Amino acid sequence: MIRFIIRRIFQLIPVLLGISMLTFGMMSLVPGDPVALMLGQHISHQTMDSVRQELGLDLPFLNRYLNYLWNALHGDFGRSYIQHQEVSQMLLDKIPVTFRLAVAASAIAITFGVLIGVLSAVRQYSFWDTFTTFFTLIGLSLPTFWLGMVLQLVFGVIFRILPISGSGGEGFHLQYYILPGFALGFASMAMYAGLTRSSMLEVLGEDYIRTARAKGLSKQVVVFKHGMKNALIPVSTHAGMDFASLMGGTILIETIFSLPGIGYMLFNAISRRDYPVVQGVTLFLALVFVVVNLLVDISYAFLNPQIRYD
Amino acid sequence: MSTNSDADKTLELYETSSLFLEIWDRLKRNKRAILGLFLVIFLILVALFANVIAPYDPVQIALKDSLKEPNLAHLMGTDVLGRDIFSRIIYGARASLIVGVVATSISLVIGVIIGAFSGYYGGWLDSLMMRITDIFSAFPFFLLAIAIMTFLGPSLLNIFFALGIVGWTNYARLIRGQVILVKESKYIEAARSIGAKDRRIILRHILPNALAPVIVYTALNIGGVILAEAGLSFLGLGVRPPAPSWGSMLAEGKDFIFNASWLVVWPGVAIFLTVLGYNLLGEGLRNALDPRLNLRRIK
Amino acid sequence: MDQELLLRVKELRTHFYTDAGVIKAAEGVNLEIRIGETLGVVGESGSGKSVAAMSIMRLIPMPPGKIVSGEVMFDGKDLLKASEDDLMRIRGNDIAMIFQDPMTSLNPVLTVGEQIMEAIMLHLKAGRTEAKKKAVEMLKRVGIPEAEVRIDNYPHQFSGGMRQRVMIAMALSCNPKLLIADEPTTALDVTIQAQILDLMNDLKRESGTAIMLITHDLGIVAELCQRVLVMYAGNTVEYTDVVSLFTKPMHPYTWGLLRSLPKLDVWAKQRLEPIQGHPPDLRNLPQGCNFAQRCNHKKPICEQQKPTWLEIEPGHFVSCFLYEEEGKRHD
Repeated sequence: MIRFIIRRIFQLIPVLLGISMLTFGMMSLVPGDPVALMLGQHISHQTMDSVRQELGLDLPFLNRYLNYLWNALHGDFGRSYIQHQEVSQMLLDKIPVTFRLAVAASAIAITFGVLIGVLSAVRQYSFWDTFTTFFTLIGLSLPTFWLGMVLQLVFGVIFRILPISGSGGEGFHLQYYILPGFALGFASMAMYAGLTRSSMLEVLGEDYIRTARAKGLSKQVVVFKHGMKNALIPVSTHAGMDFASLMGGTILIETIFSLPGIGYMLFNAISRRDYPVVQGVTLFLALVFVVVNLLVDISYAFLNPQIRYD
Repeated sequence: MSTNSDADKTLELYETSSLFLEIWDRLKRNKRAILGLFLVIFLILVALFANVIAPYDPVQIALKDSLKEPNLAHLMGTDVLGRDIFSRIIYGARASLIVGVVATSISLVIGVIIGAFSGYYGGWLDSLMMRITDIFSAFPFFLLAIAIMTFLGPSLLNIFFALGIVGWTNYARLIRGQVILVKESKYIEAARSIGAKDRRIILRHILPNALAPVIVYTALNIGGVILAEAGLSFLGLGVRPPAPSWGSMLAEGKDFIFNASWLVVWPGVAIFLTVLGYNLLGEGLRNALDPRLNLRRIK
Repeated sequence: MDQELLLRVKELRTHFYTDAGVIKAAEGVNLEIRIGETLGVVGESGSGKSVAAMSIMRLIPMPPGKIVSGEVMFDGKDLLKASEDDLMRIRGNDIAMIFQDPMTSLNPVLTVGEQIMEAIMLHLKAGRTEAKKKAVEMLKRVGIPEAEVRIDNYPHQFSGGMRQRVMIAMALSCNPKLLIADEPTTALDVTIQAQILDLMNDLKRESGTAIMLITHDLGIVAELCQRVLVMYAGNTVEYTDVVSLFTKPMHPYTWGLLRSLPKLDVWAKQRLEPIQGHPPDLRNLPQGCNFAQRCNHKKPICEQQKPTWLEIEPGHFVSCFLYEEEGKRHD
């Protein structure tokens, strides 16, 4: 088990190098001179040169990359052009909101998705099953940000029971995360429903389910004790990845619901062409994605005894 | 073992010259796939004949008509600049369709070439290619597209590039997996053992088998790309205004959501139906193209 | 009804409704099992042996399957009319089952102990400690070394033969009256096969459990069974005691089966004769006898009507027009 974890961590090194290279390389996609962008147009050449020197932008590409990597390894993700603040500090300030939003979305998606999926697998060919298949397709076809707007419309005009904007100031206020969480998690919910359904159907066709039924166990015990754990293995593999991609997908939802998280920060950075922030957020979210993936692999090994002992 | 006989049956299926007729036949019987096909064809027709169907010029500003509710003259109302929403939706189909098709084609070409080489030759080339796909897939799809678009700046050409470059890894993995699977499967062994030539094996067995999931994935991917384009345009990173795009229409309508909800409702419905069409078609194709799936159902 | 009779199946029909048509997997199954007796069920794959067994247990997946008609009298109760609650009390308790593939028949994410114990706790109303003791005892009885340790292992830590032993321990843990064994040794190595069969036979002698042994190996039948049922294309075609089956078989299909068997005695030089042709498509059964197409003794009536299940001699049932007076059918 320890060996497995260590091997997995070593395998990450080339991926992490690649990620940093890619995010670093993005800067060179920018048309024009980054220093000019940073300082504005009415700055003398001397100032620009000195700033360039100060930032190490006059060095060769490889040196600049190694500097970037070195800084990133020390938690330095650069400095905002606009707010002149450390990107890492900005990230730290905004993480809680985005994290809560992603947790809310995941919780809503997993709870309802798995429930719908299991029910439709157990009642295959029923109305409920047909409904689930359609629900899955609809969930995957709805633009989340549009769903967010429709929810705002419905809850802002008709049912005025949940807040439709903001985070409610300092601290954690659950009610502010329900609508955005639902909108963000809706597609995932549909995906979980579909995934659970097909995984459960496959498991219910297995020989050991027949064995369990031949033992005289009730349908509930067969489904929940013998079926569920097996059926949830592929679902749980997905949960981690999905959580990470929900964090990456918060930009649209945070923008619509004016939630001051990483996504909203990214939106503001995009509209102001604040490149270091965009670069930093991208790198950070990719790292989250990779780390979560690692955790998923490890937990997968815990869930499935066959892998654990091999 | 049952996998053996399944493979035999697959072999039989692919040996029949009426393969495409059979697929069409199966697709035809799937009501949902037909609904999807209808939606997709409808979208294509709307995009092609936008100038004939649209009653107004989509970029014509008429401030005296600002924010008109849906009425007989303006079926879906007008936006803050007095532009006809219906006409903008119809022209918006063009942007969505072009982005969907071109970006997917870019992903497809890159992915198929890299995937096929990795799968067929294996070795260090394969390891290198797979590490590169790992790196690309370490980014959430939409986030990487956003980042690239931010640095490149908004334009149609850049969207093609960004969404194309973001999406190729899935194709590469898919193709690689299929090529390896097919290369090592029993019926290729069988074909080889009865003296079939490499060329025949590749053309008759590997390609059709590897292609089936690619076709399915392409339909689904176009839907995904259209969704991503809408999201990018919503963030101001997509098609440049005033050219109509469903995503940017939603962004423009965002601030008027409570007094002019039609600005938000119709573009969303258009995106939803379009993506739904591709998803239905993709799912129907999956059912029609996967002979193993059908055999399983009979068993 | 015979005092000794444990199970009697009459005219059982089970169909599967698929996209490709209605598969008549069991189409007239008749059999009897007496207390403590071993019945061998033989027939080629697709003849409906497993479907019959699953129908008796009412474990046919529905849909697409459906038990269309028939009667399954077990211990004086018609299982086809029993409620799901009654069935749950019977399954694993009065009737237990072991399956062909021990590699896939055990749940990979639960320890073997857990899987044995849950039936004990359910049917014998035992607590966890008591159930665990009983499970260890069962594992010892089926010959698993270090049972106290192995009980906490997962199925993949056992070999195929050991897993089948675990399955047997699980099945016999509640002292069932009937054990249905669906080709229990087909997936195992030949040497292991003999061990497992010996084990089953020993356990049967100790506990007096009746066994319905599904197999396609007539050698196993000759060795272990008292009675034999021959199935063909969803029908039971012949039912008799094991001696008569080999000495005076009556159904032409049984003749074919016996002729296709290699013999190691004086007739060793005799050629093996496979039965010509293929079994019929279960979606599209002929109007007459299912075997008529391949039968060397067919009469005109064989292609027009279905033969009846008749007791030709005491305890010897056959479904064939060779033994039926023409035109005198009593349905």
